[in-house]
Amino acid sequence: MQQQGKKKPELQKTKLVESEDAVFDLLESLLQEVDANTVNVVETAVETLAKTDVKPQAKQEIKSETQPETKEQPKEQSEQKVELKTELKTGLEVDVKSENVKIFEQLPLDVQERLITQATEELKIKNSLPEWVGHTLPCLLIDVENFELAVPLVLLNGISEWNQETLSMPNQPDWHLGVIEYRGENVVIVDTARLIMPEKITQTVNERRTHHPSHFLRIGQNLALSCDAIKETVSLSQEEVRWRIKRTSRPWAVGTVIDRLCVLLDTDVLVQEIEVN
Amino acid sequence: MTADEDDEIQTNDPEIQLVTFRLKDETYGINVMQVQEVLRVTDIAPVPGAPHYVLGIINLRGNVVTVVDTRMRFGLPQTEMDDLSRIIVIESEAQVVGILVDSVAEVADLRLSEIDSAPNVGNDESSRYIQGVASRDNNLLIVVDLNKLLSEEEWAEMSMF
Repeated sequence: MQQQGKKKPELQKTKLVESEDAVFDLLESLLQEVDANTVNVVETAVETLAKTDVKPQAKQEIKSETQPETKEQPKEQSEQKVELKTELKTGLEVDVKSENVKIFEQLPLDVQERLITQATEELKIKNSLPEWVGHTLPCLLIDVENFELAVPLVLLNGISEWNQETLSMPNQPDWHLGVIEYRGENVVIVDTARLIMPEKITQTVNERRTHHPSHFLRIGQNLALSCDAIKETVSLSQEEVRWRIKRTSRPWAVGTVIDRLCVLLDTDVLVQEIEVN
Repeated sequence: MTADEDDEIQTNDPEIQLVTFRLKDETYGINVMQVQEVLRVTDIAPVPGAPHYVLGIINLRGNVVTVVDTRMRFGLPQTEMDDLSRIIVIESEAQVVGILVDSVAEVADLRLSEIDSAPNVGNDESSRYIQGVASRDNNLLIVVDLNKLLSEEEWAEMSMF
């Protein structure tokens, strides 16, 4: 136990140095989640800071902003105001940031460690997200072999019922269900289930090609994913997904939609896998 | 027995508490300190592409928890879940996972000296998590080392479903 106690400061130091700026930004938001007492300390500190350092400048700015609009301000005065604003903003940011560092250093060691762990984890998640992940993520929920999957709409080039004539081609991989003409182009339909959950498939390749799924989603240039049903669209926030940081296995599963316990599919990775194969 | 002698026994032969559960016809015990809670079986969502011993995932108050099929992991025949089936939520190797068991029995107090090492038969990987066996009320209790239930890579993967 004593050894663990000794190691703690070293751990914090290392982590802070690795990604100091990013961690402090995240800490600022994380501080809100700490005990009510700690939050009060933060608020009091920020209030004090605002009252002491900023008050005279802030007053000046407020005064100039509240002047009647009818009176045109001279150009120089306006430029000065912009400069003043910038200086004030930058000064405030620096002061608040350094104040946060002070507050952070005053927190108990275990809270510091927890905040650093949380911040580092969030940072890892942020860095691991695919570039198509925005603040909100509209997704299409589909059904494949009784498994619900979420597919980001931003990665789709089309959704259609599969009622076109399908061309079967010889000597193709098991996941190749056939070629159809869709919007004037030849598109290969991929057996989604065969790609991502081959262990769940009991039918033979021929059976799956004959009794194929009812819909397909066009991804990439000339590929489409087969699916048994289109369910609904949902708009997800980043917090509604448990993101997979390391995607060494099942790289196409970018995360889990927590509410629905379904996989969020990265179709770009599926396309890459198909191309590699 | 004097107080000093009692203290010495406590130090040399500490008492541990085990949560016991049933699988097929046997009773197993796991360290109570690693048990977070015991749940009735709720909807377990299967995960495509998951290893055969992963039953699926559950939503535990907004957290996704992976559920391991303990029968499958122990090489026991499969059975249908019933009213007695439980998911024991455990923490091991910094991961929180659920293990599906036939039923949960009790919390048993045991001294470390009461756990005998299990007879070693071959190098079966699947039996590495058996810490030992203990006799209790004329029945044998199999003590499981949860940390060895899965390999290091398998534990790391538990948070990725």
